[in-house]
Amino acid sequence: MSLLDVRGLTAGYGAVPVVRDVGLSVERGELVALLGANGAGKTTTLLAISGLVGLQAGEITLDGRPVTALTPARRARAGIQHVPEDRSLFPSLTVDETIRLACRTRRAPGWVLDLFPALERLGGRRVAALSGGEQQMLALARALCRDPSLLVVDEMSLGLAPLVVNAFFPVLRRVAAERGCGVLIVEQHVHVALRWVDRVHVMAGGTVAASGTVEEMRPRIDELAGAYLGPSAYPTEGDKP
Amino acid sequence: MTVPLLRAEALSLYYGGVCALRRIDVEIMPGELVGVIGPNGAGKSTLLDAITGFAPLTDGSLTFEGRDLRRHGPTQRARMGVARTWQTLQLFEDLTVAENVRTAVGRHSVSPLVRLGIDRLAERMPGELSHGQRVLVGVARALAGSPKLLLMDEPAAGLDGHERALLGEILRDVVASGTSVVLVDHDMPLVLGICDRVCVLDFGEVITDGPPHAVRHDPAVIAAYLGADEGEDSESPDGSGIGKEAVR
Amino acid sequence: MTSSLGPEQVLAFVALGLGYGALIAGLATGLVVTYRSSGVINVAAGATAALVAYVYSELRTTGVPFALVIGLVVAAVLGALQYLLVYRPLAKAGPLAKLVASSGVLLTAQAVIVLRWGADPVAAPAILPQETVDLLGVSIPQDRLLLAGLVIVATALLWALYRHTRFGIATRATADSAKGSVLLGLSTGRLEVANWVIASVLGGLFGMLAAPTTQLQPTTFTLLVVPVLTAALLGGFSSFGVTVATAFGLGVVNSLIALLQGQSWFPQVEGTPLPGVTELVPFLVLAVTLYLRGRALPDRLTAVAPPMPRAPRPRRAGPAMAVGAVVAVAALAGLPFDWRQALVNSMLGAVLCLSVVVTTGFVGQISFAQMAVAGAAGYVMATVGGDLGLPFPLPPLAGIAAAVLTSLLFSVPARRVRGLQLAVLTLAGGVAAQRFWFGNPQWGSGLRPANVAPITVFGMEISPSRSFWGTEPPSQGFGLVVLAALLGCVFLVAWLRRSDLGARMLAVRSSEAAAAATGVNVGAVKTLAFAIGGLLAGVAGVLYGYTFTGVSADRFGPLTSIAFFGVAVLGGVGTVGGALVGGLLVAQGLLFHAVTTWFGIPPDYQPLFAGLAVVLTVIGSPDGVAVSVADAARSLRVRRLALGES
Repeated sequence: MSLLDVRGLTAGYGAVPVVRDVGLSVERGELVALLGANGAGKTTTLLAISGLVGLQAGEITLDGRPVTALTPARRARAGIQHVPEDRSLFPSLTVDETIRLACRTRRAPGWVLDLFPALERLGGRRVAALSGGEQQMLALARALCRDPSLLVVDEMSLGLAPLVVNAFFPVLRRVAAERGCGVLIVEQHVHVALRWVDRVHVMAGGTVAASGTVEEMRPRIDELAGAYLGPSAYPTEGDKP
Repeated sequence: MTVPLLRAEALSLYYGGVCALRRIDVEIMPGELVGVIGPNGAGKSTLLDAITGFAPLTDGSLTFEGRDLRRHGPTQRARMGVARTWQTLQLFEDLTVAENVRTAVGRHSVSPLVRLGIDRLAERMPGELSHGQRVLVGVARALAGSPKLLLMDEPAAGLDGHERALLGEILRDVVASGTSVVLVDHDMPLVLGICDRVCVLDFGEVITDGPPHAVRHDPAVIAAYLGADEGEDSESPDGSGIGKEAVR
Repeated sequence: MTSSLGPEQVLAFVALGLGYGALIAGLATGLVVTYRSSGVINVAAGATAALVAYVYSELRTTGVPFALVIGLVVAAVLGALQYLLVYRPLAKAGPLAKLVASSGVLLTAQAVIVLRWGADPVAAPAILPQETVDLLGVSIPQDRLLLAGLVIVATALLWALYRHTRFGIATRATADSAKGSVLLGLSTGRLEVANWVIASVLGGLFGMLAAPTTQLQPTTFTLLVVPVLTAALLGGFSSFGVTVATAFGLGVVNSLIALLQGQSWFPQVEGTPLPGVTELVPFLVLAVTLYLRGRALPDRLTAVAPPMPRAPRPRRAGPAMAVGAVVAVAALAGLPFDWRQALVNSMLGAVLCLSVVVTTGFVGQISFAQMAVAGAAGYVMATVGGDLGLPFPLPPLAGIAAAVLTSLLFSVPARRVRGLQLAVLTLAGGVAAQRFWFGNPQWGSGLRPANVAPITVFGMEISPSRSFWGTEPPSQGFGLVVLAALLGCVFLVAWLRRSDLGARMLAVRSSEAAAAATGVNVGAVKTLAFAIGGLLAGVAGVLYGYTFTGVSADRFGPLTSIAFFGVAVLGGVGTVGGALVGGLLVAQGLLFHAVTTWFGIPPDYQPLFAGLAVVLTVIGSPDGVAVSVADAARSLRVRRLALGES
């Protein structure tokens, strides 16, 4: 039994479905990426998993228990933590207050501080005054303080320098390995994603077009790149620049 | 040599301390179709907002037909001939398609609805139309004032293959009639296929500007889109890299 | 009349003002709490507090023990119920819907008070000790100082609650990003209930404590919301400190004006001090602050984003108008006198609703000063026709011109101040106009009505109270005049909706940015909408003057404006048909006359039903009755067609 099992998911805004018949899974301790071009339906899929977008058909189970009937807040309490694309932080709160809200204790648990030592240094700073990387760190820390069984992260690297992005992936790996947490990310940088994750689902045209381990997918990288840059955009053997 | 229709020099735009545009230089020639691409958050929409007057520039100069645009508000810029479409379309939902087009100030010889082949939708409400039709209504409204420059924000998003091809034809037609077009979109085949020139943004900067075939194979562009395909030596497992991006 | 103005006197009046200031502060901090947690500008805060104070007062006079505790429980229940029954169903609605719902709650609470305890002032039983204390040689009532102290303590506690407890942090977090809170797993609904209870208890407590220092009277208490909104807006709907300081400032200024009014040099009108200065102060403070700060205030306040009620184009307007005219003429000819009067009232109300359709329905500008604009027309007409004695067409024309100018005056801030801020500003403006202008014995009519000379054409007098071709009053001739005016206004608004200008108005309402990007001059369109809205309100004001053969300040008050706004939204603020339905629903209009006559429900209950109807419409049929009925009719036709084909 997978940690997260999504079957036949059809969801969208109003009556028009944006994603159709999506099937994907995440195991405990596994890091999975959802890849695909803009408009392929990746973000909508994540929103449907956390409950912010209504389901028109399909089933979502966490640890074998269906969560489809739960409100977003209840899904969060059941163990799904979603870091959305806009991060949805609380700009007028301080870092400490954000952590306190998430943990019910004044300090973050030791293992979270271990992952993000910078949290202590930033304690009294207002969230609005943080840099992009610091905000993304806080968004992840806030979610991890709830000790989720599934962590969902949308466009983690949006607007961040490659150096910063490269610092976050080891953290996600450790979360998966040490906490047994399943991690599902949407990542626009295919190469970066393939370097760090265990498995990928590739979305195109509102549904999952291909799934497989990194080893299985690496030879098909042209296909993946094509989803972003259009056919033959990526330099291949016969198409030297 | 011809004088550029729009000339932007060293455009910079900061939201609070965050840099959205960094010293951007862009020139648009009359009758030119220029594509603007780049990953999410690269500053493409912000650039359109800056040119149309919806985002306050921090620095730089912006001239249209030799006139300083920065001294004018969005309404005046529209009347000077700078039109735009919106990523969220922003159709006037309470008005019929014909009324949507009629709000535009300015005279036009051929009805833009006829021009785009959607005149049969004139009396329909936008809410009753398909997404593809709505996109065309947005384009028709922007063309209604006979603009000299048309800025388009992701018009192809959500269109199917057939509709994209149609959009491409329409844009070539618009350019052929003398209107310059700036096309911001994620659809690479469309942008690389129809544009005269493509400008690539990343982190608010122009990283490449040139003809489509050159841009397509530019390693910097591929890295911006797919992430650098480098070794694994740059990682810092303790998270110490976080917060240092400010020095970039 | 004249008294000395020594430092002791000033000190004494400052201290007296603390009581009023404390009441404003208590309500204003509550307003900040509910706005932050639910995004609602609770204009019913004053009315709810008044309800609590009345309950307490009745409990005390009948000798029930623990009256204060029961009062607080009542306040808590009222707060929780308001949220659960009204604002929770509206969680996803736009700010306009929430504001209208809140006006409906205000009208309902006000109606309940008047029904149960009457409209006359009641002396409230004291809670705080009534002895005086000596302060620097001035004897000051102890309760004022205690009130001020209690407000400061309560505010400090609130500040600490929101600063240091997890509940407070969660509330602030939810105000920042409701999505973030939900994704974290917080129960935002429970947070909102708690905040509504806190706000309501706070308002109720200070309502009960401060009532003895003012007087318990429904309208005064309800209109407290104007200085209360001023304080909360100055505090940016977030800072308790600034809000409380402004509240005390307004209280003290209020008291000092009372002191100055006793001075011989204070401007006098017909032997009494110039009235309405105290109402003018919050308006001016608001106008200046909002204008200077412009768009620096929180975003939620400036964006009256869609969803707005729909505004479909009129279909078959010409035939509909012709049929309506024939029906109305027949009704005027055939109906008995009481029904004729109700019909005239409904037609008048429809004209006023049409003005709301233009300013709010077409351009999305919320104005609570529509009755002030109508009043301007009525009073100028009375002056031009009475004091200046000019002949017939001139007084109404001058009146309408005055209404257009007054409306344009309100459009000046509308170019910079948007959305809910404009609603608050026009509410304050409406209060100021009523007290400072209409209530002025010289410029307006003081407490008595001013006479309006009847319409006289070719020596024939067309007055509602005159017999018309031998029939009993109200005159059918006058009814025809009102009908003609209504048809003219309907034609104007229907034409406007179909014109390019109307299209630009709806474009501005839909998205100011997109409108500007197509070359629409947003400021000019708003100004024109205010001018046309003013014209229509002016016509209504002139007709009011003729109907009642006079104008009086109490007819053009801000609560009447709110009631009309609610009725207009009820009918449908986006369409001509909506305004006509609104006309049917106005107080003393056809619907209420029918209910009164046929079901024997006393007319006193009208305001209560109107208030409840406004709340229910906003929740159940946000586009208004007219549009919903049209939709239902259309879907019925479609179904019938489908059945016929099969």
